[in-house]
Amino acid sequence: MTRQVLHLFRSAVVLSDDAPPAALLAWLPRWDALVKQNLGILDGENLHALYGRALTLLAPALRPCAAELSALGPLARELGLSVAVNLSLAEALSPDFDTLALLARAMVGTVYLDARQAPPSTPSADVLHLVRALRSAGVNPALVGPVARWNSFGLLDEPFLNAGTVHFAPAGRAALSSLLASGPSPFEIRNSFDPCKERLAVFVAPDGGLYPCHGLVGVEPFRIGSLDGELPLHITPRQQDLLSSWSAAGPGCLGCVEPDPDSPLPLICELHKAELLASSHPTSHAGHQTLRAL
Amino acid sequence: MEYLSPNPSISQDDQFDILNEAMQLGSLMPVTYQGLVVENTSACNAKCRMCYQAAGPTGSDILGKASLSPEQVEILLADALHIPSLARRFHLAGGEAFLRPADCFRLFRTARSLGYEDITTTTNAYWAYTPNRAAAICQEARDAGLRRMEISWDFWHLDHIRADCVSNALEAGARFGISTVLRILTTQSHSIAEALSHLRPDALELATEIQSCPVFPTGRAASEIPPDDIFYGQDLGGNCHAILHLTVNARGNVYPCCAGADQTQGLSFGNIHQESIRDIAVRMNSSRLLRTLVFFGVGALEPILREHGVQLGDRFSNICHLCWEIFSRPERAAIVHQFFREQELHEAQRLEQLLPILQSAQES
Repeated sequence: MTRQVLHLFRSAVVLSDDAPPAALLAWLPRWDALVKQNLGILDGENLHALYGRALTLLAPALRPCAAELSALGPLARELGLSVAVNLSLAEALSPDFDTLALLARAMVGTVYLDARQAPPSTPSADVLHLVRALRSAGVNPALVGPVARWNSFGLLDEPFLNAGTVHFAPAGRAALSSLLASGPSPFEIRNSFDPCKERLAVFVAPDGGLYPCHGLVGVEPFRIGSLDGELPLHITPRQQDLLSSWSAAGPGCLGCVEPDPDSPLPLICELHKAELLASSHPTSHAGHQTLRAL
Repeated sequence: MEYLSPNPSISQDDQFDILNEAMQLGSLMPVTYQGLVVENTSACNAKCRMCYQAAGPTGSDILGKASLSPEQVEILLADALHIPSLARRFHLAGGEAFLRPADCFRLFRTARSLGYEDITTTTNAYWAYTPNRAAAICQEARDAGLRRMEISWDFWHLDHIRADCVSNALEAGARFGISTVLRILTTQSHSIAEALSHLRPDALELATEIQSCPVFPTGRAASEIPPDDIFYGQDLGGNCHAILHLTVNARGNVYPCCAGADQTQGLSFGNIHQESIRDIAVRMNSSRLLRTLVFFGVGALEPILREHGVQLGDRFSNICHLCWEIFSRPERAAIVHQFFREQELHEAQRLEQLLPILQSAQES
């Protein structure tokens, strides 16, 4: 695998339906050693490639992941990766879940705190206390969900929040759908230039399969390995060419696709995925080309 | 990092090892940049009180009236690609770069054709005075290759920019596939909530990201924002080597970042009108001053200044504010530069003494 492509896989994102696969604990150091060896880091080259590496766990709930995360987090930190998780506000405020203790055990540095499913009755005082406690513990909360919802807790006027750096991700997919439905002109991008570099990582699917991006998880021709499989990852030269090209310019495909309001993917990934799936259909000439190329 | 010293208790072999290590460090651990930032004008249609560039309609209070032509920026873009430690990101800023939208589109197209993979900009969105105008600008910018737009908005922009412009820009960005980052600044009396309250709620939810941070009192903010309104930080021990951007300001001066130091004379490493940015970057990579600053943090300069009778105090917003406090004052910058010049001279003298030993060792 070329260094240019391997550079794209310095970070890992684990997608978990329930608890993460147990095989992750054994896989993580093997994958990390592969990356460091092949980028020349163990020989003192490309040391800056160690910046910004992360292990991110995305799961519907954090509690089922507690045991695995408590082991994975310190291991990831020892290897030089920061640790990030997503966490719903409802779960974080659950009285029988010691959120802060788990985040501390797992050495989590960033929490994507999601307010989208928080019930209307969520007490503001509890939210303020939680966010303040996270900041005090050195955990960076990135606030996901409608800004209006966060504002309704009185959070955006709080001095402790205004005194530091804060990130919000409104994730307004539904708002975007509404905009596109109401506007006078259709959603139109006339050029497909949209580098994937920032969105590429090793994505670990719930079944242990490895994929190069979130949008390609589950698309069989793009499966590049598994947790139980051998390393290095089995990426064909053609796949390496595609990934290098996508990293710099995107897959080069467009489409007028109704954005899925529940999709976790960036909109551009939804467009790419739709095109890639369409092109990989056996009856499509373009699909035959794509499959043969892989 | 150990500075080489004429300490007789260090053996010549050890001195040789230290020197060798120092010489290799530049290539083993280069000063890396997350991208190239070009501030192509010091002019802005607004004159916000918290502006770190002190920009305004007649130019900057600090830099005066200055600009880089599209031709100059294009040469710079091509040249910068040869800097191995520069990530392929181009960020266009001002002042207000979109005072001349056609120039912006041209530069986005050039950057894309040259192979820049991430093309971004900062703007106050004044140009989005109607939804149709916002759509027209965003569509052309997207076609030219713009991928992300940082929109500056806060209480102080209100005096100069209509809130509707920002809302229109957020909507147009979403419609045409440009990621938008709404950048908010805060003080003790002006919060995130206050800034956002002026924007259309539906437009706000279309922002890809909203980032807020406190005003730090540099540039115009140093005189226009009451000191007691500022949020002061506790931790000044951090470093910045992982978040640098190679920055060229509107005068052509080159800096390691765009967080305030780019408005000083004290941390300029050269000027693109006199030499190529490639050569300037090489010099920056071997600069003992810069390497100390970015790897050890600006706090490492404090003892140097203290030894010369300069007391910095401890009332700073963050490390960028502290850095600006040092390098915006010629007398302080001079002390720091002189210290490192002496270090580098001493190192060169030691190398001269050890070179025959090196050569002899290689021959045998």
